[in-house]
Amino acid sequence: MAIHQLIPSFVPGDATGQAALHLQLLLRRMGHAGAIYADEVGAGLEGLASPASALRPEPGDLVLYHHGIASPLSSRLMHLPCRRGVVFHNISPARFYTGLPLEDALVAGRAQLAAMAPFADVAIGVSDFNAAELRAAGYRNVHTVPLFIEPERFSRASADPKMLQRLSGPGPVLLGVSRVMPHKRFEDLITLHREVLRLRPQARLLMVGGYEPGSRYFRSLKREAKGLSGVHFLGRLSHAQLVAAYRSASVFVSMSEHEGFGVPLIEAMAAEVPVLAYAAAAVPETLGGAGVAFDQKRFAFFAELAVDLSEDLSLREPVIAGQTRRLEHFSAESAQAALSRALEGLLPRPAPRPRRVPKRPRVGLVVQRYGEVTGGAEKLAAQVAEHMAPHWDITVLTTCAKNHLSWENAFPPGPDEVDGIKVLRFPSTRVRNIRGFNGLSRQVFDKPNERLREEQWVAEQGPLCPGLLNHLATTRDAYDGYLFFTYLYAPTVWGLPLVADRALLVPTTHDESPIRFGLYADVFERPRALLCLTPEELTIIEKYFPDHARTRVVGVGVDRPAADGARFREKHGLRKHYLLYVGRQEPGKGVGELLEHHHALKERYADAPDLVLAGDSNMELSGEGVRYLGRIDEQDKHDALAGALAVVVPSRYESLSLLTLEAFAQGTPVLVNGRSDVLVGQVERSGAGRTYTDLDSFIRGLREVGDERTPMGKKGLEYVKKQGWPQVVAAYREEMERILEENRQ
Amino acid sequence: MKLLGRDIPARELISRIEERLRLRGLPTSEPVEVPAEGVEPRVEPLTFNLHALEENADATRALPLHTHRGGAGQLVLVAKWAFRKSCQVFINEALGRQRVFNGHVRDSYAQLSAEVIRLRREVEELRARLGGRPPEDDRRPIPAQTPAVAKTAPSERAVEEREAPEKARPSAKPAPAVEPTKPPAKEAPRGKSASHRKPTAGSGTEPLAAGEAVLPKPRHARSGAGQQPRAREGAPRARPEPESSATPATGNAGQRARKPAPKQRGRRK
Repeated sequence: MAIHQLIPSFVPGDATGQAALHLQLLLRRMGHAGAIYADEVGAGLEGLASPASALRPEPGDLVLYHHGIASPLSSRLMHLPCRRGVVFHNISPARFYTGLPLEDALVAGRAQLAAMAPFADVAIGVSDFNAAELRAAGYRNVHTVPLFIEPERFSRASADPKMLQRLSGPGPVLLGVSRVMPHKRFEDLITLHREVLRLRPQARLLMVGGYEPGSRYFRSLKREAKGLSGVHFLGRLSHAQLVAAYRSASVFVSMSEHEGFGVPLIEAMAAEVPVLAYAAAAVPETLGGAGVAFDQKRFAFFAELAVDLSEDLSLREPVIAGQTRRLEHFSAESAQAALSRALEGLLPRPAPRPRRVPKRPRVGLVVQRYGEVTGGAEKLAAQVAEHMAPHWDITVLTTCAKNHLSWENAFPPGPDEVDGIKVLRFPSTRVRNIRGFNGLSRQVFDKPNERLREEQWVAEQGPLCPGLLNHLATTRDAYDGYLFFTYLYAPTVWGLPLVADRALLVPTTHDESPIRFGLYADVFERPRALLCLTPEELTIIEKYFPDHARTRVVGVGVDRPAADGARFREKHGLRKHYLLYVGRQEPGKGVGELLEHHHALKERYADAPDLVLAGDSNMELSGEGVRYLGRIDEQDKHDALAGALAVVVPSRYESLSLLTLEAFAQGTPVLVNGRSDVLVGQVERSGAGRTYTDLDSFIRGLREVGDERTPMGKKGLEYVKKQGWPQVVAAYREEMERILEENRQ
Repeated sequence: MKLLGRDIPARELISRIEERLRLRGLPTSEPVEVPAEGVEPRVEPLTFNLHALEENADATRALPLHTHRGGAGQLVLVAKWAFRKSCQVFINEALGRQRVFNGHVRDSYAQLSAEVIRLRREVEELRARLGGRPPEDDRRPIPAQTPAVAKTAPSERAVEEREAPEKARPSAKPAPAVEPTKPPAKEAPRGKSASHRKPTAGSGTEPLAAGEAVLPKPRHARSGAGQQPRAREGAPRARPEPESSATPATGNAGQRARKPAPKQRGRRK
């Protein structure tokens, strides 16, 4: 059973869209797959939401429709051949817009709300106030599921430094956040500010929210603010700028005459700003006794109070502490508990737990690609599958993609078999636009983001494979446990929470920009255990996710097939010494820098070794003494490793370099990128190589490796002999048995 | 006036600030009328939609002139008015068939909704005869696809129900009443007395029946002679025609096609 969501508009900065995204997160944590469908999908969000016209639910599915102002989707909901639910975000009372075009849409929205009532299996209000309106509209089975907030996204560290700087200055600073609409009563904020100026001439008023510069209402506000100092209309802000505005404010003020929930109230609480709010509609419920609510707008009085809240710590601090306590009510955990109660009667009962631990557990191995593909994590997944096959009944759950840049479907969907391992492939539904993806990456990397942006990045990263997610959600009884590979990709980010209670993750963590995304918390905190490849990887995880799941360094086994370097030289006509790199040839792997260093080396030294490159290429590879061989087979690779002067590992982002271990296994030393802690650790522990960070250290390292090739090679061989597959297999089995045993109990 | 907050010494704070206001020579504790507010009443969809269809069936009739823009926006209004004035005859020609079509849609909807209301009344009467409470099965949401059992003839179903009285008989448990329309008291320390609230149509009662619709006021005044609807003559008017005149800028003709309203979204910052 899938739980889809239907929403009129899914665009950035929309509270309803954010609610849908949050609901999807909770539903995944509850084990339900499902997509978001919208009438209007914001530019760049096509990976997260599909057009409403594409919604084709199965009879057993549930569609939750987010209702606000009038939308044709309400009619569509009533005719959907499945179970239906309404999530009500409230509608502004039409009395505020009498005689304006908006009035019709508001009343029509209420008529639609009532019309849907007999057709809804469940109705969800985001506040008790909204739930009461649902009952008044004729709904039964009404529940309150509050919106939630991620407080860490409103920390000072999440604020835009430029905006913080821009807004720094004397106080007190009053802040109002919402769309500039008449019923939000921005004019009352201005009146209050006028009163505050009488007490504190340096006071400022920040007004945040989308507005139409030419609108009558906004122009009237501008007229009202004319002659008052310190009034700033900031308009719509990015998330980081919004946090900066909150963090610059002394008091958050809401003069709104109607709120069905009041998201800015809890955002202000999360940003540790005292809240002063007119007790309209659901505002008292949202505040729940925290902050300060009032029932009459006496501006001189509240100017005094706003100044007190700004300056009197004996008043301010207890209010902030109370707001922080109140925030617990708006946590993801509270919302999930409420949602579980709301959906209780609609969901199938969970299957009974097995009475005894199966001898040969059925394990689903989830990885983004599988088969004839180049990639360290994918290769590791294949090796683990092959070594675990005698102990587990493994099914590899993967996509039909071969190329990780485009995710184009290359393998046929459905059952397959690779080297005796069962594989079940699901089609990828979206081809990646790598240029657009790189542009988005530049926008979101190393900056504080809202969840929507991070989810958008994961969707663009891909591969988007709803079939795989649906399989995970609906066939839980077919597997005793799951083994996910690589933290980074969408199948893990969105698939792991579906089965987290039975999942192990081999994260292959790199210290790279995306790991700073808060969205990956579910990936590192929810599985039963994280199986790391090196101690350095563990350090990275602890740095970014202190609340991570149990970890264990399992390492990786290394095969040592017989190899002949001379055979490789002869086959490819190589006369000189050569450096070797085998892997994906792309800038992200540091190949560009390697080519530059090699070019400089050739210019300085006539007897400089050649550079042999092998693997799939996504970049131009040329230069004096550079040989690109394309994909080579396994035997060829081991022959190449055995015959190389040294193996170069240019990547900065590694969780473990299999290539390094395979080089050691052939008695060949390595020259690795010294900016990767993992590679430095591998070299330091083995003593079988050197590191480089620039051209000089590259040349120096190469000279040392050349001089000491034989003793270094021996050290490398000794190092890998300690890392055998039997130990690795035993560790995986132990962790899976722990899951089975715990689930049985 | 009330200050609500668990973490503030409300009384002390009020008296402290009142004292300061007194020292500043500002009025304190003046009586202010607290606006009434409660849960919004239910809008009966069948009646609302019928009225909306009647109001908007004539595609040649203009929506009232409106602009959300000040200043130069007024010029746009004048331009729109001039267009209507000069081109109404062409608008009538271009939208003639649409007007006829809309009239059929309106009449069909009127007929169907009247039938639904009549059937609902009959169902209510039948239920009343059975004991006042809908059978459990009837309280389930209406499926989009008619289940097989629903396709059996009513008489057959009645026989089945008689044969299985335990299953079909309405239980003695009272039907779930509509909740009070104000938020729960513990979650709503609003400080507004109940007497301040406007009575709402749905408060404390079952949802309104079709005939007891809560309807919005007509959004716009229909203009005078030049604005005569071109819908079928004699069609019933669901809403009274207010006599208020159009805005000076609109004059009487006001025959304008409305620019599509921007899509309304939730809160945007």
